[in-house]
Amino acid sequence: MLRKGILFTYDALTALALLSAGMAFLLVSTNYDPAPARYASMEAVARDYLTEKYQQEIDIKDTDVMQLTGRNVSETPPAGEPLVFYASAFDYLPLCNCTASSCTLLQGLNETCLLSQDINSSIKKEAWVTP
Amino acid sequence: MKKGFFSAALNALIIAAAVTAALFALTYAASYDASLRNLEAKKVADRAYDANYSHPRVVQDALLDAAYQYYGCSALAAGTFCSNANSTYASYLSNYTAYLNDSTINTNAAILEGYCNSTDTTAGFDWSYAYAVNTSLASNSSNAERTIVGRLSGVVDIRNYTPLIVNDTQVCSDAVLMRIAINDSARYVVDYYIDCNQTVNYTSNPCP
Repeated sequence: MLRKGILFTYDALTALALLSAGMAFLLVSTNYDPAPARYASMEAVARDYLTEKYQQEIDIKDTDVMQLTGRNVSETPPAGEPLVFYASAFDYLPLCNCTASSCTLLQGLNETCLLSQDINSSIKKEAWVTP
Repeated sequence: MKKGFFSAALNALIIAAAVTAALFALTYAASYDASLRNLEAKKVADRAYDANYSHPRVVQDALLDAAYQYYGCSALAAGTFCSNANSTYASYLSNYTAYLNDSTINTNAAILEGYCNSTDTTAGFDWSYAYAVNTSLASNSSNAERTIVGRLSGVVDIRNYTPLIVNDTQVCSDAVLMRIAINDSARYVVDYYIDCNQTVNYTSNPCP
């Protein structure tokens, strides 16, 4: 009994319990729910697509996204998909619809853009990703 | 002694199991909440980034429109170019942030500093104005906030009524042009010609 008592005294068992609890704390403190991480990664795919296409003006297509990430991205809400991830980005309209370095406007034809702000709801770009 | 040993062992196991379960529940909930807050914070940061990204175009839009409405094809408007530019920018900025808002993220803008002054340093133009703004763009939700200060400066060059030159060689004498250009000290970011007398695009249809 004396030899068993060396290992299994009440104090030793209490220490073991505390040690187990400590290890459990370390273990569970590193746990995370994979759902938010998955959402973040899918949302990043959609947002990267929008910022590259509209803000950086890179000619990227949904087929490129499929090839690069294996995800299907669309600028219209996909119908019938049980799980869809969404992202948005904003890009101001080209002033007077001019995308060149220099433009000519004609009074009475297309100069009315100089009379009001070049903005409407289409500055909001939206994309949906299905896994 | 034997009974006491098993009792102590059982107590230890129960304590360990209870503490483990409680810690797991607490940390799981905390981790989930933290993940959601991080997602929300990223969306707010993205919105502030977007707001700042397009902000230069808001300034350019306001300066372009103010220049045309003051020096354009009609008679000079009331006030001065700078007062018109400042009020146009303030109006456009307010409208711009309204388009950035949705049900979860709100964006507010505040003009911290503004500078507009006449300068005649640009050769070949009738009027030149140095313009600078320092604007705070703040996006926030219920749990996150991100503020970016957009700083812009440039020169607005305005020239009224110059002959239209097509392909650098052909001059249409009846064309009446004005030019509005904005230089950000590196290049012309806006360079628009407005024909105040014609509705025919001479660039694609040479002079009659």
